[in-house]
Amino acid sequence: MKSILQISTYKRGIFHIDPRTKLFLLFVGNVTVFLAPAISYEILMAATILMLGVLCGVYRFSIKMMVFYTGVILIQVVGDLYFPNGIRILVVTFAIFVRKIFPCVMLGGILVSTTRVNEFMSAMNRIHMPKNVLVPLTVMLRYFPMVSEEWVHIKNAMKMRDVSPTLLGFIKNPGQTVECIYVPLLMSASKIADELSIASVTRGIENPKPRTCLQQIKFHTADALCTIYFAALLGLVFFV
Amino acid sequence: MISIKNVTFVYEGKERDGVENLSLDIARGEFVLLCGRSGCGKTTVTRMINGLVPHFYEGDFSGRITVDGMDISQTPMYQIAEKVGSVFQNPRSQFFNVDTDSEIVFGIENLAYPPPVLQKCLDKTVSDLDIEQLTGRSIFELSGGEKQKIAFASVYAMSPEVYVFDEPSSNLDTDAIEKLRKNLLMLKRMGKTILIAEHRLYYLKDLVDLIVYMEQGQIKQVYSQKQFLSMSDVQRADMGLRTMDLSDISVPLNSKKGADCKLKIKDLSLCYKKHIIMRNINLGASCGEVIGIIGHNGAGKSTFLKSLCGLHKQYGGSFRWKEKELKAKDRLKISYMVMQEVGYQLFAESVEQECYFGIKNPDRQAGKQIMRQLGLYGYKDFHPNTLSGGQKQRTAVAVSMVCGREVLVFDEPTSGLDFDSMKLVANLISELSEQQKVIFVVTHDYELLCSVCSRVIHFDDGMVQDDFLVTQQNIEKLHRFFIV
Repeated sequence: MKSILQISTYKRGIFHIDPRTKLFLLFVGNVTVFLAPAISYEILMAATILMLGVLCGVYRFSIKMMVFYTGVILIQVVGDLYFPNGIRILVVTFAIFVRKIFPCVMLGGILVSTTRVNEFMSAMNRIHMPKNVLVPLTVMLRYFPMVSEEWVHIKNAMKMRDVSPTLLGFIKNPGQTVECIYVPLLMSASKIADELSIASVTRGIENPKPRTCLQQIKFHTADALCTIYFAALLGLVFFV
Repeated sequence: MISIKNVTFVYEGKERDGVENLSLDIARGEFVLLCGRSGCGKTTVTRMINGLVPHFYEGDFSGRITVDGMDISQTPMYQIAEKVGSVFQNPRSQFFNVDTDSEIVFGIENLAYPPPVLQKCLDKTVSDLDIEQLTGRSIFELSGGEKQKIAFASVYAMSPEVYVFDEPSSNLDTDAIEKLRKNLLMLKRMGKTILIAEHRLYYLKDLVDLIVYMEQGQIKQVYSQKQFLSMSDVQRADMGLRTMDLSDISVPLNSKKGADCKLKIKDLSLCYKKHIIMRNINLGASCGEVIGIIGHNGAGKSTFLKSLCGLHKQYGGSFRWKEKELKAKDRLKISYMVMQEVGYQLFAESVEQECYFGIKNPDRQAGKQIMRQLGLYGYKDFHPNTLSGGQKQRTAVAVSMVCGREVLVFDEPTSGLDFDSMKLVANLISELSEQQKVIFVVTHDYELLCSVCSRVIHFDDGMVQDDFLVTQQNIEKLHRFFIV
């Protein structure tokens, strides 16, 4: 989480996509995965997203996600062939479920992690997103990277109480583990959301004048390329 | 410049913290300090001036507030923001962007300055505040003090007439406070009107024109700088205020060094993200000793505490407890850290359940005893999150005692606390010391250090700089570090 959501500070990678294009890609990408007629098509979609991630400079996250995705597909295939009946249905259904959602998660992660908050805000201003929608949305976007910091503290607190903050701990004692994570996280989340909102309203975020931005946002060739490619993928669904 | 007339404000669903029939006039260019115990309403006064009350916080509002002729309750937040700049307590959550440049221009972007002007303002702010080394960085790499500087820069770029600060020094080390003081001095010289609500008073003593002392939502007394400084220590302590002058604080004539070292740390070196940040730490600690750890932000104090508690595993060297070598896993069982944000470590639905959380077959009799001892028994059925900060801290300490931990570690236990609460923390630590616990306290709070620690270890530049007893003879060393 930490590594992917913090790189937005730096300009990395070959592509720098406009936030408006990103919204479009996210929408089209999700529809395409949802409508995908065959597994081969879904894999094509995942590969496309991976490529996009690499072009945008999100290397580690993309690769990690790809390994995970391959794993899920392997589990599905192997499970289907070799597992005994009862477990097979359970495992395979779960794998299909994860496989279906996965490209969307990957795409979302890549796009969010490459967006600067101020770019996002001025882009949303351009498409005349109302302020009362934009402000909470931005607070949310800003909260994500903070969760990873919170998580480090909570993990330490859990270890001191002899509650294991790992997957194994979760399997052994799900109720307790969930409680340990969500209670402090919820408490701090509401506090942080308040403080972030305060920091923004006292600096005039609600000003109705169209917001300007230090980094000018513009459509580039990369935006056109991505738009055409994703639109073509969606078009393909209807012709195959 | 600022006029508050007969204002009453009660927060929705909260009895504390509001103000009652409050009136105050502040002239242009005045530097006003708001002080008083926690919950006296001083923060609310700052919120009345930057418009958060009544625009952001809901509640019953009556009366009239004007800033430079603008009626606050009738003016939208974004217009107030052009006149009144605000800096808050927690530097971590004041950021909207993840890079420093964008953050500095955040306010003026909202004012819709054209991009060339934005760049000009950014350059001017950076050179005025002398923060060239902080430009173009990710805010996640910054220390608390650096974050506070950026938060301040962002407000400064909007060049408001009035500045409002709400406990800005709470999370800062001595050097960062000194920088903050210089910035405040600069604003004062520019003729800005400044309002600051604060517990730490010493760094403001040469800056203030007017001191407003509040009690239970009302202004009890308004002092001039001269009157305020001539107040006796006893009187000040009675009012629940921190010291105005750090050099007034006395240290014990002599402190006893612990006799037998139960905890021994040998050749410890600490790594963080593959870099060695500290090396050659050799020290022993005995039961009942209270060891204060000082050092600048980023010196490795937190990492040291974490590795001591078994939470940080990238280290070399050994920890021994009663002559037995302890691995990280074993240290987790004998030690307990009371975190600065104690909310992270409270999980259960009531104080009592919290004490037994995660323990199979807890000793309920002993648990009751411990809750009584810490003054928590009356609150045993309360949800930990409804308690005050000090009570939460006590709950965390209670947990450590129920689990029978021997080494207790406090990370900045008094940041943002008033005099009374600071004394309570000091008493709690002394009690624990009497019970023969080994105690480490990481702190920037000179008053706490002098009232509770028997020994001080100074970390800086990647090693132990000094290790001495808190006595009259060593007071020079303390003064040097805390810039007294």
